[in-house]
Amino acid sequence: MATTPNDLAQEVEWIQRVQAGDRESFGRLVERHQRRVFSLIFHLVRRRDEVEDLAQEAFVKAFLAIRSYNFQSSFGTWLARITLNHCYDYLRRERASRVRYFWQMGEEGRKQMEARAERPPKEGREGADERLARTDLVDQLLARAPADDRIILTMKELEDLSVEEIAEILDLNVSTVKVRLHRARKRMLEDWKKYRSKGPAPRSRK
Amino acid sequence: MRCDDFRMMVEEERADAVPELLRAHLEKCAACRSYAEDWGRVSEAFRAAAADPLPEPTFGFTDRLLRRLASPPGAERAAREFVERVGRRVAFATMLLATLTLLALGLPTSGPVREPASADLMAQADQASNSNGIVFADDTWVSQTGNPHRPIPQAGPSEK
Ligand SMILES: [Zn+2]
Repeated sequence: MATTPNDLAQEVEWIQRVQAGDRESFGRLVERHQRRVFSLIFHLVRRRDEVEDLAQEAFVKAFLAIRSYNFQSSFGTWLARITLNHCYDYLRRERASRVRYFWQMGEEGRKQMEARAERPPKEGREGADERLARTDLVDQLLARAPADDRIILTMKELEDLSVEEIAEILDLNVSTVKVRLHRARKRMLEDWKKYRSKGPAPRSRK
Repeated sequence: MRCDDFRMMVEEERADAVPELLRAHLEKCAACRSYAEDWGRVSEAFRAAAADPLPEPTFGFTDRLLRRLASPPGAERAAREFVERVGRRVAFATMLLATLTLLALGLPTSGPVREPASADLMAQADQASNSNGIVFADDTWVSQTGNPHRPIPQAGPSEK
């Protein structure tokens, strides 16, 4: 990521070179931003095996569109926008063939889901097992959320971006982001609750 | 204030800094209490997931990208489909072979059977990988590319 004024100046130079047709300079930009792009993609799609392919495709799109980049936002923000759009398409394609909410799952799926979410930590390995169960819960919650909700939840809860940063990337105002975020969280919790009440007999919890 | 406003506060506040107004509401509203409890569990799960190690670009990521940008779109798509179809197959075959080799080397066997068995396997692997650069060539990959009915392009792997 560009941080110092020197870094920024260098980045501007690379961008201008790429815009003038120098492909090699794009490699510099890729190396500077790939970590952030990988993080965003991984958090959005939650599939390690897909991250690299999606990153390649997102960078190709960025390269093809770079002449339209006009330095209004930071290059990182512009790139995040392209990455996000690419993942959005991917998620929509992917989820077209899947059930949306827990209560639409079959009995077997619900049982598996409950087992994951409620998996008690094993003695001695508490940390690892508990964390795995929690990560699994996040995967399930996000997999069931509509694509728009998933994107905003990912940016806030996994990428840890501020509402201001999210607003810039999504090109929305801050209050709209706050409202959408709250709605997405609410829908997610409602879905989870619905699942738990429809699922097999609830287990006792602390 | 409505319940929804309190719930928004629940999402934004940290558990250790609940304002009095919210605390008072939670004491008398069971629905918001349950919401707060659920949110606590879910946001904790998100924090755990956010701490997951991130995948790193594999070696040569940028070079592959630049090569891809240098090729015309049609060729790029064909190459990509090729890599998608074949790359995973090769990766799987390599993993399988590695597992078999490890098993052959590591399984406790009685007497002298063990040495030749693992040596054979290694020789097979050598032969396979030397003949065309792809491990497990003997009965999966080569026979499939040689078969005109398979929808796999005939070109060899351009990168290895
Ligand atoms: Zn309430």
